[in-house]
Amino acid sequence: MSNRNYEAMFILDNNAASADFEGTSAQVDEILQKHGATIVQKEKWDERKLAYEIKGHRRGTYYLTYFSADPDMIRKIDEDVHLNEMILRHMVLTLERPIDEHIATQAAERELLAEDSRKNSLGGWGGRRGDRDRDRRGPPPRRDAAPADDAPAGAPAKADAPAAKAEAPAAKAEAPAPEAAPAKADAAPEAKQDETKTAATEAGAES
Amino acid sequence: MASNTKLKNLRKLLKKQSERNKCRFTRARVYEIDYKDIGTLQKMVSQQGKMYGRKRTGTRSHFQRKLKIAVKRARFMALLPYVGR
Repeated sequence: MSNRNYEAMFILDNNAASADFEGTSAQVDEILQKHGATIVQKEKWDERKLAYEIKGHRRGTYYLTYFSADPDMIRKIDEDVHLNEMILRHMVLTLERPIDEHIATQAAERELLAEDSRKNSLGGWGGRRGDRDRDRRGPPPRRDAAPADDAPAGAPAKADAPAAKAEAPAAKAEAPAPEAAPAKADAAPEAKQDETKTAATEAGAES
Repeated sequence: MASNTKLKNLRKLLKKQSERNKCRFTRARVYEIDYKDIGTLQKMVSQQGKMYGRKRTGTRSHFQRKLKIAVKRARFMALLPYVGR
Protein backbone atom coordinates (compact mmCIF):
# COMPACT_ATOMS: atom_id res chain seq x y z
CA MET A 1 0.00 0.00 0.00
CA SER A 2 0.98 3.56 -0.28
CA ASN A 3 2.49 4.54 3.03
CA ARG A 4 2.63 8.06 4.29
CA ASN A 5 5.14 9.82 6.48
CA TYR A 6 4.23 10.88 9.99
CA GLU A 7 5.72 12.76 12.86
CA ALA A 8 4.46 11.79 16.29
CA MET A 9 5.17 13.36 19.65
CA PHE A 10 4.33 11.53 22.88
CA ILE A 11 4.33 12.88 26.41
CA LEU A 12 5.43 10.03 28.63
CA ASP A 13 4.83 9.65 32.35
CA ASN A 14 7.86 11.33 33.86
CA ASN A 15 8.09 8.99 36.86
CA ALA A 16 8.38 5.95 34.64
CA ALA A 17 10.53 7.61 31.98
CA SER A 18 13.10 9.06 34.35
CA ALA A 19 13.55 5.64 35.95
CA ASP A 20 13.66 3.64 32.73
CA PHE A 21 13.39 5.68 29.53
CA GLU A 22 14.33 2.78 27.26
CA GLY A 23 11.56 0.61 28.66
CA THR A 24 8.80 3.22 28.38
CA SER A 25 9.81 4.39 24.93
CA ALA A 26 9.96 0.75 23.83
CA GLN A 27 6.24 0.50 24.68
CA VAL A 28 5.55 3.27 22.18
CA ASP A 29 7.73 1.62 19.54
CA GLU A 30 5.91 -1.67 20.11
CA ILE A 31 2.51 -0.07 19.47
CA LEU A 32 3.76 1.55 16.27
CA GLN A 33 5.42 -1.60 14.97
CA LYS A 34 2.38 -3.73 15.83
CA HIS A 35 0.42 -1.78 13.23
CA GLY A 36 3.04 -2.08 10.55
CA ALA A 37 4.80 1.25 10.94
CA THR A 38 8.48 1.49 10.14
CA ILE A 39 10.21 3.87 12.52
CA VAL A 40 12.76 6.01 10.73
CA GLN A 41 13.96 8.14 13.62
CA LYS A 42 13.23 8.35 17.32
CA GLU A 43 14.67 10.54 20.03
CA LYS A 44 14.08 11.80 23.53
CA TRP A 45 13.13 15.36 22.68
CA ASP A 46 13.08 16.92 26.12
CA GLU A 47 12.17 16.45 29.75
CA ARG A 48 10.36 19.54 30.89
CA LYS A 49 7.65 21.12 33.00
CA LEU A 50 4.22 20.99 31.40
CA ALA A 51 2.43 24.28 30.80
CA TYR A 52 -0.58 22.82 32.62
CA GLU A 53 -1.35 19.63 34.47
CA ILE A 54 -2.16 16.55 32.41
CA LYS A 55 -3.72 13.65 34.31
CA GLY A 56 -2.24 15.01 37.53
CA HIS A 57 1.30 15.30 36.18
CA ARG A 58 3.30 18.51 36.29
CA ARG A 59 6.35 17.25 34.39
CA GLY A 60 6.64 15.07 31.34
CA THR A 61 9.18 13.42 29.07
CA TYR A 62 8.72 14.23 25.41
CA TYR A 63 9.41 11.44 22.96
CA LEU A 64 9.60 12.33 19.27
CA THR A 65 9.29 9.75 16.49
CA TYR A 66 9.22 9.85 12.72
CA PHE A 67 7.71 6.87 10.94
CA SER A 68 5.98 5.83 7.76
CA ALA A 69 2.76 3.87 7.95
CA ASP A 70 -0.44 3.01 6.18
CA PRO A 71 -2.94 5.88 6.66
CA ASP A 72 -5.68 3.44 7.76
CA MET A 73 -3.59 2.25 10.68
CA ILE A 74 -3.20 5.67 12.30
CA ARG A 75 -6.61 5.40 13.93
CA LYS A 76 -5.73 2.04 15.44
CA ILE A 77 -2.42 3.42 16.68
CA ASP A 78 -4.35 6.28 18.32
CA GLU A 79 -6.68 3.85 20.05
CA ASP A 80 -3.84 1.75 21.41
CA VAL A 81 -1.92 4.79 22.58
CA HIS A 82 -4.97 6.04 24.46
CA LEU A 83 -5.18 2.73 26.32
CA ASN A 84 -1.57 2.92 27.48
CA GLU A 85 -1.28 4.63 30.85
CA MET A 86 2.38 5.53 30.46
CA ILE A 87 1.50 7.93 27.63
CA LEU A 88 -0.13 11.11 28.91
CA ARG A 89 -0.79 12.64 25.52
CA HIS A 90 0.23 12.25 21.91
CA MET A 91 -0.08 13.97 18.57
CA VAL A 92 0.44 12.51 15.12
CA LEU A 93 1.11 14.87 12.22
CA THR A 94 1.16 14.06 8.53
CA LEU A 95 4.30 15.14 6.69
CA GLU A 96 4.15 16.35 3.14
CA ARG A 97 7.82 15.75 2.43
CA PRO A 98 10.17 12.79 2.90
CA ILE A 99 11.20 12.43 6.52
CA ASP A 100 14.90 13.20 6.28
CA GLU A 101 14.20 16.23 4.10
CA HIS A 102 11.60 17.42 6.58
CA ILE A 103 13.97 17.09 9.55
CA ALA A 104 16.79 18.86 7.73
CA THR A 105 14.68 21.82 6.59
CA GLN A 106 13.04 22.14 9.99
CA ALA A 107 16.41 22.35 11.71
CA ALA A 108 17.65 24.86 9.13
CA GLU A 109 14.54 27.02 9.53
CA ARG A 110 14.83 27.01 13.29
CA GLU A 111 18.40 28.21 12.92
CA LEU A 112 17.31 30.94 10.48
CA LEU A 113 14.67 32.21 12.88
CA ALA A 114 17.09 32.15 15.80
CA GLU A 115 19.66 34.12 13.86
CA ASP A 116 17.05 36.60 12.70
CA SER A 117 15.89 37.29 16.24
CA ARG A 118 19.52 37.68 17.31
CA LYS A 119 20.08 40.25 14.58
CA ASN A 120 16.89 42.19 15.19
CA SER A 121 16.58 41.72 18.91
CA LEU A 122 17.26 45.39 19.70
CA GLY A 123 13.69 46.53 19.23
CA GLY A 124 12.34 50.04 19.42
CA TRP A 125 13.72 53.29 18.12
CA GLY A 126 17.42 54.00 18.33
CA GLY A 127 18.70 50.48 18.88
CA ARG A 128 22.49 50.21 18.69
CA ARG A 129 23.05 53.90 18.18
CA GLY A 130 21.76 54.83 21.61
CA ASP A 131 23.97 52.23 23.24
CA ARG A 132 27.07 53.63 21.59
CA ASP A 133 26.36 57.12 22.90
CA ARG A 134 25.92 55.84 26.40
CA ASP A 135 29.21 53.95 26.28
CA ARG A 136 31.10 57.09 25.32
CA ARG A 137 29.60 59.08 28.16
CA GLY A 138 30.43 56.44 30.74
CA PRO A 139 27.95 54.57 32.93
CA PRO A 140 24.48 56.12 33.21
CA PRO A 141 23.64 58.09 36.37
CA ARG A 142 22.30 55.96 39.16
CA ARG A 143 18.58 56.38 39.24
CA ASP A 144 17.72 53.85 41.92
CA ALA A 145 18.91 56.14 44.73
CA ALA A 146 17.05 59.28 43.66
CA PRO A 147 13.39 58.24 43.27
CA ALA A 148 13.43 56.14 46.47
CA ASP A 149 12.64 59.20 48.59
CA ASP A 150 10.52 61.99 47.11
CA ALA A 151 11.17 65.05 49.29
CA PRO A 152 15.02 65.37 49.22
CA ALA A 153 15.31 64.27 45.58
CA GLY A 154 17.60 67.23 44.85
CA ALA A 155 20.35 66.16 47.24
CA PRO A 156 21.38 62.81 45.67
CA ALA A 157 21.15 64.29 42.17
CA LYS A 158 23.62 67.01 43.12
CA ALA A 159 25.95 64.43 44.64
CA ASP A 160 25.88 62.50 41.39
CA ALA A 161 26.85 65.40 39.15
CA PRO A 162 30.42 66.12 40.37
CA ALA A 163 31.23 62.40 40.36
CA ALA A 164 30.21 62.15 36.71
CA LYS A 165 32.38 65.15 35.88
CA ALA A 166 35.36 63.62 37.67
CA GLU A 167 34.91 60.48 35.64
CA ALA A 168 35.01 62.19 32.26
CA PRO A 169 38.65 63.41 32.50
CA ALA A 170 39.70 59.96 33.66
CA ALA A 171 38.28 58.51 30.47
CA LYS A 172 40.12 61.10 28.41
CA ALA A 173 43.39 60.38 30.20
CA GLU A 174 43.18 56.76 29.16
CA ALA A 175 44.86 57.36 25.80
CA PRO A 176 48.18 58.94 26.93
CA ALA A 177 48.63 57.06 30.20
CA PRO A 178 46.90 53.66 29.97
CA GLU A 179 48.36 52.39 33.24
CA ALA A 180 47.27 55.24 35.47
CA ALA A 181 43.85 55.74 33.95
CA PRO A 182 42.21 52.43 34.93
CA ALA A 183 43.11 53.04 38.57
CA LYS A 184 41.40 56.41 38.40
CA ALA A 185 38.44 55.02 36.56
CA ASP A 186 38.11 52.32 39.20
CA ALA A 187 38.34 54.83 42.00
CA ALA A 188 35.77 57.19 40.53
CA PRO A 189 32.69 54.90 40.56
CA GLU A 190 33.52 53.74 44.07
CA ALA A 191 33.65 57.28 45.34
CA LYS A 192 30.42 58.00 43.52
CA GLN A 193 28.73 55.02 45.08
CA ASP A 194 29.87 56.06 48.54
CA GLU A 195 28.51 59.52 48.01
CA THR A 196 25.13 58.29 46.87
CA LYS A 197 25.02 55.86 49.76
CA THR A 198 25.75 58.52 52.33
CA ALA A 199 23.23 60.83 50.67
CA ALA A 200 20.61 58.09 50.84
CA THR A 201 21.34 57.34 54.49
CA GLU A 202 21.16 61.03 55.37
CA ALA A 203 17.87 61.35 53.56
CA GLY A 204 16.60 58.30 55.45
CA ALA A 205 17.63 59.89 58.78
CA GLU A 206 15.81 63.10 57.89
CA SER A 207 12.56 61.43 57.01
CA MET B 1 26.10 69.17 1.74
CA ALA B 2 26.31 68.17 5.34
CA SER B 3 22.54 68.19 5.61
CA ASN B 4 22.39 65.95 2.56
CA THR B 5 24.49 63.23 4.17
CA LYS B 6 22.49 63.62 7.35
CA LEU B 7 19.29 63.07 5.39
CA LYS B 8 20.82 60.00 3.75
CA ASN B 9 21.79 58.57 7.11
CA LEU B 10 18.33 59.23 8.45
CA ARG B 11 16.77 57.45 5.50
CA LYS B 12 19.09 54.50 6.02
CA LEU B 13 18.15 54.33 9.68
CA LEU B 14 14.45 54.54 8.94
CA LYS B 15 14.76 51.80 6.36
CA LYS B 16 16.60 49.60 8.82
CA GLN B 17 13.94 50.17 11.45
CA SER B 18 11.04 49.58 9.12
CA GLU B 19 12.76 46.35 8.09
CA ARG B 20 12.90 45.38 11.74
CA ASN B 21 9.18 45.97 12.16
CA LYS B 22 8.24 43.62 9.32
CA CYS B 23 7.29 39.96 9.48
CA ARG B 24 10.06 37.91 11.05
CA PHE B 25 9.10 34.80 9.12
CA THR B 26 9.32 36.60 5.80
CA ARG B 27 12.68 38.01 6.83
CA ALA B 28 14.05 34.59 7.77
CA ARG B 29 12.58 33.04 4.60
CA VAL B 30 10.91 30.19 6.38
CA TYR B 31 8.54 27.73 4.72
CA GLU B 32 6.79 26.40 7.77
CA ILE B 33 6.46 27.24 11.45
CA ASP B 34 7.35 24.38 13.75
CA TYR B 35 5.29 23.90 16.90
CA LYS B 36 8.39 22.57 18.69
CA ASP B 37 10.25 25.86 18.27
CA ILE B 38 9.06 27.29 21.57
CA GLY B 39 11.50 30.20 21.63
CA THR B 40 9.98 31.66 18.49
CA LEU B 41 6.40 30.94 19.48
CA GLN B 42 6.82 32.58 22.87
CA LYS B 43 7.73 35.84 21.18
CA MET B 44 4.41 35.82 19.32
CA VAL B 45 2.37 35.22 22.46
CA SER B 46 1.63 37.45 25.45
CA GLN B 47 2.51 36.69 29.07
CA GLN B 48 -0.95 35.22 29.47
CA GLY B 49 -0.54 32.97 26.45
CA LYS B 50 -2.72 34.96 24.04
CA MET B 51 -1.44 35.40 20.51
CA TYR B 52 -0.41 38.92 19.52
CA GLY B 53 -2.25 40.50 16.62
CA ARG B 54 -0.70 41.04 13.21
CA LYS B 55 -0.69 44.79 13.74
CA ARG B 56 1.56 44.42 16.72
CA THR B 57 4.05 41.88 15.36
CA GLY B 58 3.86 42.85 11.68
CA THR B 59 3.41 39.21 10.64
CA ARG B 60 2.17 38.57 7.11
CA SER B 61 -1.27 36.97 6.94
CA HIS B 62 0.16 33.82 5.33
CA PHE B 63 2.42 33.25 8.34
CA GLN B 64 -0.13 34.38 10.89
CA ARG B 65 -2.32 31.50 9.76
CA LYS B 66 0.57 29.06 10.03
CA LEU B 67 1.48 30.53 13.38
CA LYS B 68 -2.05 29.98 14.63
CA ILE B 69 -1.78 26.27 13.87
CA ALA B 70 1.66 26.03 15.45
CA VAL B 71 0.52 27.77 18.64
CA LYS B 72 -2.52 25.52 18.93
CA ARG B 73 -0.37 22.43 18.50
CA ALA B 74 2.10 23.69 21.10
CA ARG B 75 -0.79 24.33 23.49
CA PHE B 76 -2.13 20.83 23.02
CA MET B 77 1.29 19.37 23.82
CA ALA B 78 1.53 21.57 26.95
CA LEU B 79 4.47 23.52 25.56
CA LEU B 80 2.47 26.76 25.81
CA PRO B 81 -0.34 27.53 28.23
CA TYR B 82 -3.97 27.85 27.15
CA VAL B 83 -4.43 30.44 29.89
CA GLY B 84 -1.61 32.26 31.63
CA ARG B 85 -0.38 31.75 35.14
